[in-house]
Amino acid sequence: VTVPGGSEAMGEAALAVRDRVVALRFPLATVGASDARADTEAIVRQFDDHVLPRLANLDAPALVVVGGSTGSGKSLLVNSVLRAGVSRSGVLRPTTRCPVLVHHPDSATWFAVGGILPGLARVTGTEAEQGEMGREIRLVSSTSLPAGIALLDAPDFDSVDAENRAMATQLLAAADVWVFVTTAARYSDAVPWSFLKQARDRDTPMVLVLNRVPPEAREEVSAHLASLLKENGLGEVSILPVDEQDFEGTRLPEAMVAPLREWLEHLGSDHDARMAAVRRSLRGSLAELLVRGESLANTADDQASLVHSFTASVDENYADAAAAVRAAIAQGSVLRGEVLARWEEFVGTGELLRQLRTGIGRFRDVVAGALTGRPKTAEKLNGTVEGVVESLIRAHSDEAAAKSYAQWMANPMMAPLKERVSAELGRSSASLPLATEKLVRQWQGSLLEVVRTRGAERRMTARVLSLGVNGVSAVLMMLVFSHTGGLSGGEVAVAGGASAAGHAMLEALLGDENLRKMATSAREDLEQRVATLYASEKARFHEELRALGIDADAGKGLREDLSALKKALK
Amino acid sequence: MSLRETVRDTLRADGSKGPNKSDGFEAADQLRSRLSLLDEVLEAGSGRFPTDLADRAEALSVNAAARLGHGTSFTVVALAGATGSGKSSMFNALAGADLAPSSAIRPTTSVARAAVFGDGGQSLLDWLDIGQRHRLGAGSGSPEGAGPNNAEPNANHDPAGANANELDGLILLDLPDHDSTAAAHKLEVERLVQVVDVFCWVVDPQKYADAALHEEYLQRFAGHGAVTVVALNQIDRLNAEERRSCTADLQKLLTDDGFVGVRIVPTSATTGEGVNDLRRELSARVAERRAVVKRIDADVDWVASELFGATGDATPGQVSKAARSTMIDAAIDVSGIDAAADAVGAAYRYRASLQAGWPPVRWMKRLKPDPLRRLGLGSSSSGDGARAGSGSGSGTPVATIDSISVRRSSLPAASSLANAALASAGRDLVASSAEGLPELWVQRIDGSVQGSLGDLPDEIDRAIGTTTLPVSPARWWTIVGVLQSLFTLALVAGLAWLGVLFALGWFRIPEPPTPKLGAFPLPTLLALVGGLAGFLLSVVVRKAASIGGHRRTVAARSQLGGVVGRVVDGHVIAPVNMELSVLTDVSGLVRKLQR
Repeated sequence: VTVPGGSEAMGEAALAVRDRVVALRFPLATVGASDARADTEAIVRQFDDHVLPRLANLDAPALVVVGGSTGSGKSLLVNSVLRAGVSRSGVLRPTTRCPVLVHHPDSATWFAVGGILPGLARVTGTEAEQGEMGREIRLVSSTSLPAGIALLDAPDFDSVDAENRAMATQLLAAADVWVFVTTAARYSDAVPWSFLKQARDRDTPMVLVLNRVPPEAREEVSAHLASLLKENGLGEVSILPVDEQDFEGTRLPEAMVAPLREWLEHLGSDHDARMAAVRRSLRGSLAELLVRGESLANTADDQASLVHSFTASVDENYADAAAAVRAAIAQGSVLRGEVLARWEEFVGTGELLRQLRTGIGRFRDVVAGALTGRPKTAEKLNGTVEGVVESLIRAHSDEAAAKSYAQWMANPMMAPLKERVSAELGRSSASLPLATEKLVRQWQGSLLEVVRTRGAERRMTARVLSLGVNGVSAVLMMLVFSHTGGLSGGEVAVAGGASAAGHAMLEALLGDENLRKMATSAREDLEQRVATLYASEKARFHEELRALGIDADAGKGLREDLSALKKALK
Repeated sequence: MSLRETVRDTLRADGSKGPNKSDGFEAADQLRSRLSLLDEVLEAGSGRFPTDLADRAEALSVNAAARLGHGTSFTVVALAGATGSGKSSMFNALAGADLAPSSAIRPTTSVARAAVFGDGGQSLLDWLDIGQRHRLGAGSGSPEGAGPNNAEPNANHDPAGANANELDGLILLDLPDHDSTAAAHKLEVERLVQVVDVFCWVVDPQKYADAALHEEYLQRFAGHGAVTVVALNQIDRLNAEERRSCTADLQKLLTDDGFVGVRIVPTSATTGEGVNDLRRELSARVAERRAVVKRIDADVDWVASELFGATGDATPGQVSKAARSTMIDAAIDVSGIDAAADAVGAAYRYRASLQAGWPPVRWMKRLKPDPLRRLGLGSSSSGDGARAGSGSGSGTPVATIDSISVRRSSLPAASSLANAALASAGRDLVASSAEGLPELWVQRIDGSVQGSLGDLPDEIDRAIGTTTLPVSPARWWTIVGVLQSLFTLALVAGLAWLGVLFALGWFRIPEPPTPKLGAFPLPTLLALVGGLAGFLLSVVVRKAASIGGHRRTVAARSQLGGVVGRVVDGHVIAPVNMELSVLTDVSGLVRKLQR
């Protein structure tokens, strides 16, 4: 046995693992996630209830937990062993609801709050258990036990009372030694065997009391149970049969409980035997925790990789959307229908040329617009282009949001998200229309800024400005949207002609070299702005994923701590 | 023999109780109609329920039909419970014979066995797939029935013969346990609890509160209270006070499980106490012969409430007008028919100006291509016509084009914007029509819409391809054309006349007298009036052509829009409406099934 007394290194390593496990989150329904959630709780409990207090004080009294099925006579057994009525027994199932911990008066401090089982409140006094059911332990001090051990009468683990089952599971996990009680009618039930197998995996020292055996069948049943134990790798567990009693008393006959009492007294008085048992169960617990921790780490990795893959798919959807916007601009999709009509109107009415020739174009337009109440054609063109670009950006944002949302909803592993996430997420954010409008306007603004500075360099400011702010931006926009060409069908001629006209005009104004640069940088500017906008749109999805609280490195960190603990164990 | 007749016949055999008899008919008729209603639900709702639920309901329907097919002359009672509760002992006690081995070794019984009271029932046992059978009572008798009976201290047992009369028509099953480590036992129990008629749960003071019993079985079959008996066995181990409190506690647990009015019979198979009570309880159910119907009825109740849970309380309507028109608008954008409609209007204006425009400037129009040809629309004949028109210089041949057929290849490809709008309209359609429906149904509607949106462009393409747009010339073109020719003729004649007069004057040749109309010389009048009238008429023509062209555009748009609308209706909206009405039907049926 290699656990050194109070090894601080091991205590620290165990605490590190415990803290790491506490921080684990398994919100997504990956394979084994619900098990992992339950296991996280159980593991933390086992550290708190048993491993950490025990590592802090190896010499403390051993905790012997009496566990078993409902109706198997645990309480009667405890009362008989102690020769005192510490725990209520009866025919109503389940009888024991509040666990009773019987300890020697000398070790009272160890079992008071703060040591083992810190999550359970302590109550004292006899037979007070009729009170409120709660997460508490009744402490009973008794001299009929040796100072080295304490006996805990646990509730059943198989009755309809779910609280009892949870409590029993917790108490058995916290035990140094088990007294496992079953009966002749129970010994092949599935539920007790699941606990026995757990004890085997944890290497918990144990004695098995076979209660309520019909005297005539004692040999037969004991032999069968022994063979079952052997089959399940529990061959070294000793069986203490207790006959079915046809009586109304509150104690089993002395002869029946003597073997159990002897076993307990030996454990309580023989320091070496007790330390061996304590160390064995501690080591077994830690070894089992290492295995369970490893599977938690795997599940944590699954969760993290699921989050990662969904983050990636959201990124991809928005990247697709940005690419679609880029392609739509490059292929001249914007130069269709309404926009083209407005452009033709703009060019066809000769307004452009008029504005270009005479510096008074702007003034005249303002007056004409005010008189007729009709918006100027350049403004109409600008408005239409804005509208089309905006709806282009919005449509692809909608598409990306809907696609991402659908991908999340379609994956059963993301099911827990359904309750958290509203259907709003499947659409673009409510502020998108405004943001898009702002985006296009700001882009136009920067476009004009470029025209102004470039124009100033070439001393063209006056002429450029004479075109009217709207006119310049309109021509430039048309240029951006048609520069890479690629129109199809009958529109080629018109749009081509239109852009050619615009091109020629601006070339005259700003120069060929300048113009190419400006068109390229304007397009890049627009793409950049769209990318920024989409980044804020997809951030909503990322935020939801972040809110799950899944740490990408949780699995890795847990594994590191586990291997540190493993090292400390050796 | 129909199901109904089977049930009725078997019920008629039991004619002793008058009022119950008509009750029985009614119950059987009701069950029959409920089962066919269930079949209807399953057929109409196939693929619209979670698979496991549909499978269970299907199994129920099949089992119910099979069970009813075997008639109600036998009632199958299953002794079920935990290992060690004394099922086999109770089986032996009820049979009055040591048929099943009981032992201290757990678990004891691994395969179900049957005790058959009375003649017949072979086919029913075959269906139940019970290999170990013991026949007791009247006809065949049971040689082993009386023998070992005496070995047991069963003082209260009736002789086997009396048993047989009382329990005639009973098939008693001894099931394996459900809570031991032997998984096969649980499977056997699981199989049989689906098909037996009456549950007799055997519990004992040690195990009556087990989670394995309550959570996995009793809570599940709480709706079957009418065909459930609970025997609290091993009662000999308790004193009178303990019996009372134990029975009360068990009663409370059963109520918590959801049972209403289930009888608990305290028994002891070893002392024989209470066994007669249990036998009477069972024989009453056997004599009544309605356990089969009651059990299946409870099954239907249970599956109906599950089906109701799956359909929800939703009452799906039909696709809303708004969602439909959004979808059609989006489809029109995608189809690109606006371009075709615009071209029709433009073609009208173009041809009007060719035929009825001012002849002096008409030639300029010929330099522009026909808008329809520019879009690549129109049949070959239209192409010929257009060529002929430009060649001859006279306006008529263009008028031979009466209609064009639209090919999608000639229309502009849908922009990504339009495609996105279509997808968005699809999502809106699903969201608005599937609102409040269970997830599975939303998925179905979504699948239907996504599927039909995928090939919607092709469908529209096909429909548009068979559509012809009228571009026939207007009658006034010809009249105006003649007028224009006359005016031009007047202009030309006037100018020529004036030219001749001018030339005569130039060459100093005395002019012939020029006729006058009022104060004006005739040639001047001819030239001026012809020119002015032609010009004015062409202005009018241009306006009229613009109006007419607009009308044609609107007409073409509405015609093509109608085509697209019909395609959308047939291809997208109708399947959704059909799905919705199926769902309405199914949830109506489920509600009816639930009562």
